[in-house]
Amino acid sequence: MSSIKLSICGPCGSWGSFPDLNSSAGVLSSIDCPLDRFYDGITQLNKNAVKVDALGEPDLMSLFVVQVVSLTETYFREILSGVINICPRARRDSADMPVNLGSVLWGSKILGTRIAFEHNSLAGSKSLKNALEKIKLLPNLKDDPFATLLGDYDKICELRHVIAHSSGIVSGKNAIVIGLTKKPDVLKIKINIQTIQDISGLSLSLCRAFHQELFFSCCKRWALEWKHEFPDWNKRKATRMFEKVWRLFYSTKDSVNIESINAKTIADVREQVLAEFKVSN
Amino acid sequence: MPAEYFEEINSSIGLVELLAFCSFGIPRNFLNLARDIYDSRRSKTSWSNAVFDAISKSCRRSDELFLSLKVKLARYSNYVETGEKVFRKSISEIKKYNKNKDIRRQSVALALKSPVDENMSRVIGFLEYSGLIFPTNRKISRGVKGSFQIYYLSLSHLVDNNAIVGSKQKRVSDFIEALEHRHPHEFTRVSVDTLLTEVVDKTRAFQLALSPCSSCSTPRLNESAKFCHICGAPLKEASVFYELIEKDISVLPLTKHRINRIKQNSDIRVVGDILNDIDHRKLQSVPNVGVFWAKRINEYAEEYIS
Repeated sequence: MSSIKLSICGPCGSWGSFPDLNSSAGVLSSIDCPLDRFYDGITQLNKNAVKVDALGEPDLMSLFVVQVVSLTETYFREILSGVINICPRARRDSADMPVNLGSVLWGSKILGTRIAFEHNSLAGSKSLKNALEKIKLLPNLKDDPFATLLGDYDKICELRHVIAHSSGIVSGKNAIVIGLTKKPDVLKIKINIQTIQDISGLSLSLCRAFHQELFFSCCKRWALEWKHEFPDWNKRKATRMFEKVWRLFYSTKDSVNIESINAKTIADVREQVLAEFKVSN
Repeated sequence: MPAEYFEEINSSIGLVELLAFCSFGIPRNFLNLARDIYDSRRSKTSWSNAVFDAISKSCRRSDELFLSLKVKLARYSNYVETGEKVFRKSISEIKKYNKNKDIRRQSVALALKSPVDENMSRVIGFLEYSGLIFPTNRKISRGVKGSFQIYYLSLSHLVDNNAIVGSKQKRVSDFIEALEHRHPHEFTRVSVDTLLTEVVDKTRAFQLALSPCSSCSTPRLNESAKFCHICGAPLKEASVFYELIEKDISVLPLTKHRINRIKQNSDIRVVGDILNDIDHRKLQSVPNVGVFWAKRINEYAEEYIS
């Protein structure tokens, strides 16, 4: 019988065991603003994509699509976790979210609220909406820019699915979502540098849109709700809580390159928020 | 330069005159031409070959100076590209005009139909800076056909491209005869549209180029680039850039009084007009705007779009 099995391909053999990755696991650098971590990642990705594009290897280029989605998911996990950390109402609303026991055993102290979305895929508008619903911070996703950006995000995630799960070979559902023209043959996607730039740009727009919206929502809660949540609420507490929100959302990368961000101080923005929601200091 | 070489040049009939013409009024060009001829002669090249090789080299130097503007004035790289095509077309129009014409009726000047718009004037300005064109104050009228502004083209380029004389065998004496005895009323009439026929994408011919990367200042690879190809940083979107340069100058951090004064005393209306005013001439024509304020207003405009 064994000779029958061996008549179609080589023996399975002994290929060793799963590698020890302890020496490969480094400590994650601490960054206050998840958008800045996204910037670091997308910047490095695009730098590398130019080099790989020069090698003329479209299969290698495909892997950058996977990384773009991964960076986007990481951004959403971190920002949503960050909001839960700060906002008492978000903590209450997400209290019944299931978490993996493994995450708790590994070290919930280290990971913090990151474990809340650990087992949730955020690769797609539907799963993103579900995650936002959990903390009741869902903006109006039917209006632009969210409607368009989420539509594009779904296409990017579909493309990632094609690459990650079928080596770029397109199935019917993928083709329809991505918007490919019907052809009589089986298609395989080839990724070039412009595609990487385009989807990186769309992901960046999506993250920025949500970043601004979530910041605004947190500011609103800070101005109108948190004073009722914290029994020791006073001016000093209010300032400290606003500083926490600011640290989570303020992008130091954008502050270097964008004049309008650099021109405002945290005090300026706090005054603006108070004026916006007609709250006295 | 050795004395015997100096003697040789002086004794060659018409050579100094030809070098003078080809220098196009720029002393440095004359010295470079003489030097190049001397270097060629040291390797036993014939006089004729040495002269025309030196003229070719002089043309390449001017061309490189012009093209270097793409880097020095990155925002005007499209203008420089357009200028290159305009100049080549000018030479070919003059060559066409001079074909089969008497040697003493050769044209070395372009008569460009007026009015010449600001964009083309800017291109001509860049060509003039590089020693490729020399605008005169001469304007001629041809009645219903319109009036024309006269520009001289770089004589070394006309010689190098055989756009004057046009004989198969280039001879120093022929060029001297054509240049010394040229008729003042021989010029090649063209319109701006004719000069732009070589420009494929006319919508981009006079378009300000997008800002370079704000992180590492590298020029963009192309208009559709969204991330810098060197440092990977996100680039400002093209549509945003073009929107910003169309904004009224009131978006800049200037007092209302100064903005009104700029608008009343110049044709500057939008941010792009300030960026287009390269030498700040328009800004400095506004009362109480001198060198310092012109530079500062330009910096405000640059900051606004970056």
